[in-house]
Amino acid sequence: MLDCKEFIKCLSAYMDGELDESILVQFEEHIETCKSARAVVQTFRRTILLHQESGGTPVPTDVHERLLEAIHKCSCGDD
Amino acid sequence: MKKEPPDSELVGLAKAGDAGAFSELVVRHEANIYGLCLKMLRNPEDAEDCLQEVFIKAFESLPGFREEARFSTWLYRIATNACLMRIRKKKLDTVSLDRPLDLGDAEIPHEVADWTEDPSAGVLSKELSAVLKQHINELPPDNRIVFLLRDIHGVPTEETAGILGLSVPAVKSRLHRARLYLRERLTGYFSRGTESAHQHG
Repeated sequence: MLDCKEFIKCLSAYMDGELDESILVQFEEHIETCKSARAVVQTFRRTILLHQESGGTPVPTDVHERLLEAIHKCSCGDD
Repeated sequence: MKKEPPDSELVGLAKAGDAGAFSELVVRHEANIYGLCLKMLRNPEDAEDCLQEVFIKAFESLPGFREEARFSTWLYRIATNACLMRIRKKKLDTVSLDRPLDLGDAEIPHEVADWTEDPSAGVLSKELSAVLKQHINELPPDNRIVFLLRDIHGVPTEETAGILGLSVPAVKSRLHRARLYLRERLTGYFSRGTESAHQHG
């Protein structure tokens, strides 16, 4: 049976689907029997999701135009 | 509906001198590269300079690009090197890049509230977005880059390891520590919200 410290160590591997079968069984048992463990998994997962949802940064129009201009200058051999 | 050509096709055309093809690659990837630069360098002016540096370098190095590799990964490699180089030069962080991430209680088992049940945890308000941005800024560059590449930009672990010149276990360790830190910070944020809600009744 996994102890809590081991459980925390396994969190990322669990999220990424990389836990060995034998440890996965222990991990899921731990979630079933420990309320804190369930909370840790939920909050861990939600943290990553929130960061993913907030991640998008559109390129401002002027930045985009200056980028194309800089590349164009480069392709023409301008300094 | 006409299907968009894959990156590999545009790269081939660009290598043959088709400027329009390279512009199309820029349009496809600029948001991701700009986003990465902005989160690593933490100011729009530096991010824009870095963005230009990345695509100019990509343009100049295109003849040597092996088309069997993924173009996006190659761009992320150029961007990562450019960002880390700028951080080292400018010493944007006053502490050493090698300072380990202070996880506080994050690795120690303790009573944890499930803030995902809080309605505000499901809504990406302006305030929460700003808080998330601040938390990313707190990560040391070596953890921040791994989190951004892996979790935000979906670069696979092995490719991330290749970009950073790290072993796969090292990438996994840095990512895990970044995730734990960010979770701990968000837990603190939502706990404070719960406390103030109770105070105001």
